[in-house]
Amino acid sequence: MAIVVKQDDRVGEMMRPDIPSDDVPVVVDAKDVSMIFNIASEQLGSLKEYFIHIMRHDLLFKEFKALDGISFQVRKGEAFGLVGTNGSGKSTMLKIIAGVLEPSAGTCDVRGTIAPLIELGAGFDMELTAQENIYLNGALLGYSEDFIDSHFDAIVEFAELEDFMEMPLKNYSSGMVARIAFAIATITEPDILIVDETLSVGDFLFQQKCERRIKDLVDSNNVTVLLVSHSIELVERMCDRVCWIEKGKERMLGPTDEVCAAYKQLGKEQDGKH
Amino acid sequence: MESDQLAVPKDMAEDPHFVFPNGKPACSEEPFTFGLRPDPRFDGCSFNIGWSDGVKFDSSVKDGGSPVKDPTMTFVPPHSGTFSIFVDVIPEGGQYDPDHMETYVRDIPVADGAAKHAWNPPAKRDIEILKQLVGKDFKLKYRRSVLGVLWSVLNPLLMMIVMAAVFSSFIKAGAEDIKCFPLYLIIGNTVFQLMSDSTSQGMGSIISAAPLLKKVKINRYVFPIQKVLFAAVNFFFSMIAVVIVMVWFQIAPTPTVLLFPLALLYLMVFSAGLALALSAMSVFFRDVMHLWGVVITAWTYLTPLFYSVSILPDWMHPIMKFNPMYHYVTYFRDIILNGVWPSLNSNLICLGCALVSLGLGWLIFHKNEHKFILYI
Repeated sequence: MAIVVKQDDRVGEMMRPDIPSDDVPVVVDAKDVSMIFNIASEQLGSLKEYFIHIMRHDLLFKEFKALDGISFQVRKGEAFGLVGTNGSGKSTMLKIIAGVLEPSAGTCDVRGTIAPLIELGAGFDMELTAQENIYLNGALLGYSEDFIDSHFDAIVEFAELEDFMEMPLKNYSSGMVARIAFAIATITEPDILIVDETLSVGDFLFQQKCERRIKDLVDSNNVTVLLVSHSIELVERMCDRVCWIEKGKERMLGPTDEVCAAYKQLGKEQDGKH
Repeated sequence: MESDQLAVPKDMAEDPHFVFPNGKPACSEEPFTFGLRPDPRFDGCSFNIGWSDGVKFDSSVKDGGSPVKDPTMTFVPPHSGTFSIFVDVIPEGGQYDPDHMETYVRDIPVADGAAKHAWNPPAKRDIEILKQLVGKDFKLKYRRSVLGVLWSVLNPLLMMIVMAAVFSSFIKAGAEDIKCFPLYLIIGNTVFQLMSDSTSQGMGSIISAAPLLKKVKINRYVFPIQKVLFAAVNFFFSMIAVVIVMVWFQIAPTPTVLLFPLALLYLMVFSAGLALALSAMSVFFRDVMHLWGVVITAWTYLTPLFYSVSILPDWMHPIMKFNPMYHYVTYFRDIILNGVWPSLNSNLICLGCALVSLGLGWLIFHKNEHKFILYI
C-alpha cells in the first residue's frame, strides 16, 4: 500500500490555474464599463455651498473619468489579475465588481456570492472583541450563524490568534486584523474572492499561508479569484490572465506572461526617461 | 445548488487510471466514489484500494481486511483539502506485498461540503445583519458601565422624578385632569424618546457606515432600520420603568394594554420612515444633522409630554391635530394609563401617519441611495 504524505513545498512556486476553455461559464462580465466622478459636486458639504454653486452654474462641469470603456470576462475557476500604476482605476473597477459602485455607463454582471477583501477592517468594529467581530463580519458577508458557530474554531486557528479572541480589535495590529479578515473571507468557498492588497500587511509566513489558501480555493475549480496587487511577482505567480488598466483605459488584456512583460517594460521606459 | 450540477474537473475525468462514477467533484461530508479504470490487464487481479489525507487513511487491507475483486470505493471525506487516492494491483494468485506491486496514485481536491449551507438566503441575510448590528450597538452602549443595562430602566425613572418634581411643584401644568401625573410623564417621555432616538441616531447611520458601504455590497436601508430597532430595544427596557411606576402608584393595567404591540408597530413604522428620509438627506447636506436637533427640541415642547393638552389656548387645539406625535403619545396613554380603547379614528390617524411617513421616507431613500457612495 502507499501513503503519500505531502510536504508543503509549493511556496514561491507557480500557482496559476490553466486558462479555461470557452465552455466554462462566465462569472464576471464587464461590458464597456465607464465610471465618471463629478468632482465639483463631491466637495459640496452644505446647503449654502450647494446654492452658491447653483447660482454660479458650475455644478456639473468638472468631471473625472476614472474608468473608460473597460471590457473583460472572467470565467469560473480563473485567477484574474488587475495591474496598473497608482490611481489608474483598478480599485474602482474592483468596487464595481463588488457591487459597491454603479458604473456610469456600461454593465458589469456578476454571478454568485462575493467575498471582498478590499480593504482591511471593512465591517469590523474596533471597539468589539475579535470574537464578536467574527460574527458581525460573517453576517455582513452573508454567512449563516450556524455556519460561523461550526467554523469558528477553524477561523481562529487559521488566523493563529487563539489567545486574543477576547481582546477589542482596537488593540490589534493591522497584521492581526488582516489575519482575521482573511480567515473569515476564505473559510468557505465564495464564488468570487476579491483580493486587493490585503496580503501585503501580514508577515511573510502569513502571506505564504494566504497564497496557499487562495491556491486551494482556485484548485477547487469553484472559486474565481480577482487579484489586485502592486507586487507583480504575486500576480505572475497566481494569475492565469491579467488586465492592465492605465489612466482608466484598458491597455492590455491577455495571458499573464504577455501582459506582465509589457507592464514591466513600462518601468524600463520611465527609467530611460529620467 | 449550482455546485450539484458541476462535472468533475477535466483532468480527473480524463485520468488514464481512475474513474469517478459520481460525476461530480468530491465534497467533504458527502459520499464520493472512485475506481480503477477497467482494463483487460487487470482480469483476475485483486486490489487494495484506499484514500489518505496525509494523516488519516483507509484501505481494503487496513485492520486485517483483505484485497477486493472490485476496484471501486466509496468514502466520505471528513474534511476539505487535498486527498490522495490509490489502488494497489495484486496479480492473480499473488499475495499482498507492499514492495512489489503496481500502484496508481493521484490527488483529488475535496471541496468544503459545509459551504453549501454557509450562505444565508437573501431574505434572511438582512435579518442576520440587523441582528448582529443591533447586538453590536447594545454591547457597545453598556460596555464598561457598572450598572449596564440597568441604566435603560433607571434613566427614564430618574428623568420622570426630576420632571414630576419640577412640573408638579413649581409649574402647574394642568395636572388636575390627569389620573397619575408621574405615569403620564414617563409614558410621554419614553414614547417620544423612541421617535427621537430612532431619528437622531438613524440620521447619521449611512454616513457612519461609509467604510462598510464602500467595500461590501449591503442593502443600505439596514443602517437606518438598525437604529430604529435599537431604539425599540431601549424602549422595552424603559417599559420596565413604566411597570415599576404602575406598581408604585398601584395602577392596574386594563385589557386595553393588549393594543400595546399595535401601538408600538405604528410608532416604529412612523420613526423608520423619518429615519430613512433623514439618513438619505444628511448624506447630501450635513446641515440636516444640525437642524434636526432644533426640530426635535421644538417638537418636544409642541407635544403634550409634561403638560395637559387642556392648558393650551383654544387656537392651539386644531394645530395639535396635525402633530403625529400627539396622536401616538395619546394612543399609548389611553391604553396604558386611562384604560380607554382608542377609537377607530385615532387608529386610522396613527396608521395613516405611519404609512405616509414610511412611504415618503422610502421614496426619498430609494431615489437617492445609488448616489450615496459618491458623497460619503
